[in-house]
Amino acid sequence: MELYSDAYYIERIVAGDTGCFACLLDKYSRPVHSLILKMVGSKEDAEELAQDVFMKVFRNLPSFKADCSFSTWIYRIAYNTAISELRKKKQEFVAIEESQISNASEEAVGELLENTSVTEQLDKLDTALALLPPDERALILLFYMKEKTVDELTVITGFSASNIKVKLHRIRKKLFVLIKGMEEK
Amino acid sequence: MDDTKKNPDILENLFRQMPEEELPASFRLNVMQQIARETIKVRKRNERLGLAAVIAASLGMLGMAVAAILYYIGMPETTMTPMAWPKIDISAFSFYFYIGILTLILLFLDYKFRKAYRKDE
Repeated sequence: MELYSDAYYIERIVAGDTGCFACLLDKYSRPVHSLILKMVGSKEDAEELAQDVFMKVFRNLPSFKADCSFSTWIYRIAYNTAISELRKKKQEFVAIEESQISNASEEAVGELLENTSVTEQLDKLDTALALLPPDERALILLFYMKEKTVDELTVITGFSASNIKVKLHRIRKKLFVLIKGMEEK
Repeated sequence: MDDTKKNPDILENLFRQMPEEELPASFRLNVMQQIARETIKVRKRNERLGLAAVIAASLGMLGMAVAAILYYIGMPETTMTPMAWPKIDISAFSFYFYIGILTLILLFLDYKFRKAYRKDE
């Protein structure tokens, strides 16, 4: 149960009571760290980036205008911080043919996963996620895991709503192709 | 795409069951320590800016006082006889000096009281 709202803590911190930042930290550090870890894949980098994110949040708190929810604002900072860090590193990703993407179906993957345990299914999803580019990984995680709406995703990523819908559709298909590939192996 | 949220699909079910990674135990302490350092840095920077503003204002007032004195007693003549300096009324000078010093002391006290007030807060 939450004692006070985010707005209350923000007001106190901006007024000089920096100790209140610990309350925001307790609420958001784990989901933010978890998102960054899934994006960058390294525990050390994720911890450092999550610290950077919270320092940016603290420095820019007076400029938070509440035109979106505080969690959306934090995720936008986390997304941009992780993406700019990943751009510095050269990474290679699996290329999936267009025909495979258009032929992928949820039903086929559902049937294939039917006889496997939840742990195995989660392992396969984790492996498939790791094969996606980080921006796509972040988008699908924010949508499903952090339960962000398309409108909130436009604020976080800066893409248009239609662009996000198309991207999410393609990412889902890509995941189906990757999971199916793993199952068939 | 929002429809996907209304009708749970295989991916949604799996993502919901995906565990969140544990945070390192020192994370909270590290961030709060960084924030404490940042707060001190910002406070010191504001103090330095305040002091610089007080010094600039004092210098400005001193400059204005000197300009006013020179205007009052008149600029020395340099074209006719370069060494013929006008006689300066020392009693007026001591008055302006007294006012200037008083202003500086008041500004300094204001700065100190403000600092003490902020510390108490």
